Amino acid sequence: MKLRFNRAEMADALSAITGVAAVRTPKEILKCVRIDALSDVLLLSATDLEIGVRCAVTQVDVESTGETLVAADTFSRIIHECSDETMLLDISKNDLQLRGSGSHFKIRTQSVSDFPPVPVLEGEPDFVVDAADLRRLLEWTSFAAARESTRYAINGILMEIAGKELVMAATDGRRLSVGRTPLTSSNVKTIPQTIVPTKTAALIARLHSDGDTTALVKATANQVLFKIGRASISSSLVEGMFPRYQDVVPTDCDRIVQLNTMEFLSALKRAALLTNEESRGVRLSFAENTLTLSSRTAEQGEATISMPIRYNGETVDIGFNPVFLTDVLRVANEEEVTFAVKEPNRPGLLKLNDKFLHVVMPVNLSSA
Amino acid sequence: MQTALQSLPAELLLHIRRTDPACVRAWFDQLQFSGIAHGTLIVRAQNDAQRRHLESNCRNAFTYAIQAATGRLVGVDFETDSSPDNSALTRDRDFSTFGSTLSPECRLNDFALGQCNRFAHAAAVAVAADPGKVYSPLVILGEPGCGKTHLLQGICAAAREQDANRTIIYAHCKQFIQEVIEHAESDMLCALRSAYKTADLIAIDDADQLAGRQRSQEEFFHILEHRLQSQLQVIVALRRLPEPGAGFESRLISRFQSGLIVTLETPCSDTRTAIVRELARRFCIEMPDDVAEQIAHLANSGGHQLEETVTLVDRYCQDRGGVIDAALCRAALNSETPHASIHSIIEATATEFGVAPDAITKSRPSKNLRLARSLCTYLALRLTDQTLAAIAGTNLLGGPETIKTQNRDVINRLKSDRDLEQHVARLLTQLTGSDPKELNILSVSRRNGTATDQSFHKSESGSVE
Repeated sequence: MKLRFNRAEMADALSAITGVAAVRTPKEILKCVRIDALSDVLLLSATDLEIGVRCAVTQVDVESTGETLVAADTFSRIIHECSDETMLLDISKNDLQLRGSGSHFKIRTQSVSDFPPVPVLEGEPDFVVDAADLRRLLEWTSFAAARESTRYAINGILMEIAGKELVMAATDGRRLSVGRTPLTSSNVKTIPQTIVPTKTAALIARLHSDGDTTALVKATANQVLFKIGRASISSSLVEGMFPRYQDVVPTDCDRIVQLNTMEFLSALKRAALLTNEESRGVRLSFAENTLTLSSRTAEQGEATISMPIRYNGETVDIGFNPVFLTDVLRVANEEEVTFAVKEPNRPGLLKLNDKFLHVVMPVNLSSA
Repeated sequence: MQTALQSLPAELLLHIRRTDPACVRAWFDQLQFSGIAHGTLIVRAQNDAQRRHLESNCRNAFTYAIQAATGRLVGVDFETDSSPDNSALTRDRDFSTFGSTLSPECRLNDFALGQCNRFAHAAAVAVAADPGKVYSPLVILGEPGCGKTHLLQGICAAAREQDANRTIIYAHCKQFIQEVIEHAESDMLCALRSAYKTADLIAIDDADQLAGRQRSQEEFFHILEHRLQSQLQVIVALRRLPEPGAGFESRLISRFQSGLIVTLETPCSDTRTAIVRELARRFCIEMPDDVAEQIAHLANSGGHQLEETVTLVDRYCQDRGGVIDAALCRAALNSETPHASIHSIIEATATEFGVAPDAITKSRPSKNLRLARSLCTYLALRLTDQTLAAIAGTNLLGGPETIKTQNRDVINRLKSDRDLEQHVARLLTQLTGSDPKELNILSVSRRNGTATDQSFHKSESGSVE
């Protein structure tokens, strides 16, 4: 195998690949990246047995085809540290040689035959969606997924088809994020319950965007396959039954305010400065044309932040964990958000637009 | 793994009642749950009728209650015990795809009896005991809210309880008409005829709606004719017996007239009181007798409005501390309740006790001012239009739990504390400009829990003592 490649493109591909190659594993083979040189393209593959990724590097000049397996971490660091526009890759005996201007690296290789297969999407996808929309859905929802919950099913992001839309939902039991986006095309009406691990979501978010790319998706009973631009991703699914999230979306919140996203985020962050585990939350007091955020800790003191709002409903005080609100406001890409509440012990509803909603349980501040 | 079933926690039921008193039923204490699975509380009902009530009317209340109890986004699902039939009512549709389902609340035993309905009830009991042998057809007449549906469903339920193999069709007339239309369109009328002709008992509610519907009348007449010849029971409920030419065929009217016609009169005062008590039992409301009488007296109408009124009073009282008394009942039913503001109550109470208003409203009032604060709460719940939550929201008198405690404390102390009673009397006079006796607050508080039938009438006339 001998070829010359564009270093920057290789570095981009490796950024995604190295996130999958396992770092701590007794199986050395899983720390490696597989390199397949075809006549006009170079394929990089990695897997940790749960997630597999294959990226194509197209700006290559292949003299002779072949395949090899090298330590992903070492190979990636070399590519990133070098500054050459192109580099030469060559295999001789059991070594992979990399040559740039004034640099020469020789890395030990391993047998390709031991490397587990990395599934890729073949044939017709179940549906096609804009890649940017897919990333946005994952960004809107993944932060709300549980981390290491014993309820395994909520350690991931539910993906389902509803009519002509792709819907994603994630919850940790105290908050729920639901996003939807139109499908570009669909070959199926429904897909099996698909709970995507948060690690897979993070990998998709890291993939380099090539502008107007589409994402092809195919779901099976225990695996989901994505093809986004030059990358193919396979992921095993989170097992278990995802909660029927539709049941917990409140429908009767009648105290509704429009809030400037950045102002609200800023106010929350300031109020959150004087909260701790014990004080539990920030009190949001909705009064005529004013929202007051207040917090207190016994040791440090109190904070009161006011911001003008358009509201002329009944006065209501309701406490929230500020993290649950700042998390969602950080991913909000709209100037204004709609915040709707009902009563102090009922969940609040935060809507970004008609495509995204976030349900959050209040905290009891009566003893705070 | 099978999870052990448990009764629903009392706090949960209390929360549901506070949120949506109209959905609560006496059989809620029979509900069981097997824990929260996949973010959903599984509530197990005793039968399908209960489950349908829960699904149709109670999902939100249960969801809010479990979310408040756990602080988590938990949903609710209702299931029925899948074991072999444990209630006759669960099988009301098994034998047939026709008719409607029976309400678990409509039993003959639960029918509120009075002079206005005693004869009709006796006929219903006789028919339920031996369907087809006596009084067929049984024609029950009465205005809406007089109990026709209750009697009809009660007969069906009782007949089924005696013999679970009996085939019984209870259908609202609208549904019967719809079934006729659908089966005629699909050329399947023979199936409908067969089911209605051969069932052991059929009961058609609101049969007035057959008026002007020739096709449905035709079908019903032939069904009725066949059943009468076969000595099978038919029960029909209507507002009044149709006049010839008023949209009914004379042959159908004559068949109705051939049976026993019983009339449910508009409930009299005693019956309305019995209905209110029955509704309170059904909704698990602890309602003093004088309040039941008060509601029956003020809501001068049939069962439907009484049900609305009972729910309204309960919700009003739940919003104001959870204890139902005649004063709150009167306030709920009578918009003429004198209103005062929370601030004016606090100022008046402060003057009465010779302290500054701030001393009462500060976060930790001194021990000797706690009574003054409790008194403010007690009066605010009765003299303002603010709910308990709204009063708590002012942050002047404490949180919701504190307000409840303060209210109960004053109610209990008023039973024996003459000094406190004088304080209240003076404050009421000052705040409302009315004679406290006319307000019906003091007298009821002292009587609370030991109310007698006479007490209501005394308070009505304004001469309490």
